Amino acid sequence: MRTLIILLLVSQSIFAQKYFTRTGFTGFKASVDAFEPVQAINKSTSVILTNDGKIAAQLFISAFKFRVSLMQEHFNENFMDSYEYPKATFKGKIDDFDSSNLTSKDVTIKGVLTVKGKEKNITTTGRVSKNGETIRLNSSFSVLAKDFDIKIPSVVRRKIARQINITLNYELIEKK
Amino acid sequence: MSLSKKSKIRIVVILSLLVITACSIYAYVFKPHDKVVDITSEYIGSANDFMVKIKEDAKLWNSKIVTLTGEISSLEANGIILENNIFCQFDNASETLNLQKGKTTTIKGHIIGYDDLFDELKLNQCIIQLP
Repeated sequence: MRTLIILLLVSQSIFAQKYFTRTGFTGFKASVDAFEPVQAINKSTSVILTNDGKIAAQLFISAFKFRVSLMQEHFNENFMDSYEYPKATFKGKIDDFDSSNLTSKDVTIKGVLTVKGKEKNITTTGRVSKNGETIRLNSSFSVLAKDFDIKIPSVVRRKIARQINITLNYELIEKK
Repeated sequence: MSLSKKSKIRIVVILSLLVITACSIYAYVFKPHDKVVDITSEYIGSANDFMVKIKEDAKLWNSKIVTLTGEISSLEANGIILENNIFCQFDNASETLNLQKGKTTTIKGHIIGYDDLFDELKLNQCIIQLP
């Protein structure tokens, strides 16, 4: 029985088509009008998507780039504690996804986002489109800083939005 | 109304102090990002030897600048892979144009961490170091 399960898992991983990127774009915005924009982009997000819609994404907190380097320093040291929690991950599924007959459609994505060691269920919508061997995935969703135990000091509380908007844009190519 | 010479000097001194403070606060808050090229590498040497160090303690090397020499296993979008397990991302994709698979090269870059998804070490802001 055990060998059968192992065989099944191995064959699945061999036959499953995968799409991937190492340089996906993930951005976030927590700006408040009239104050210095609080936003950063990460161009080094790793993403793997299987042909039946399972998706896994991982990024490094320290690879978020801010315009103001001091803000980036504070983000890593005071807010995210990126030495202790270097990664953020997302594991989930795109509903009704089939890479073989895909052109372009709106989809629902469900999964678990882990930031600073705290997990949160996310359900959001996005758009996938296929062009040759490339699949593009665009989506956005919002989270709250307090969901991940991110403490905002009172001095800057008015300058940082409670709700953080996350956008992503991944261009995945087929793994050969 | 005419000011005495003494109070004129006082105003000039106060004003220039204010300007200097404002400028230094601005320079502190908006200081530019450190560039990889200006930072001294904490490790210089073979990529394979460095992977041994990474396997011992990956966390220790996060956000460090290193210079690695190794064989190019493949050319990717925006980057290259060294010795099959180090992905080096370039800010300037045109830097990789003259590189060839199978050749040995030296890059300097910023370690962002060990990627479990691809089982490889990830560097960004990479630049080619000329021998």
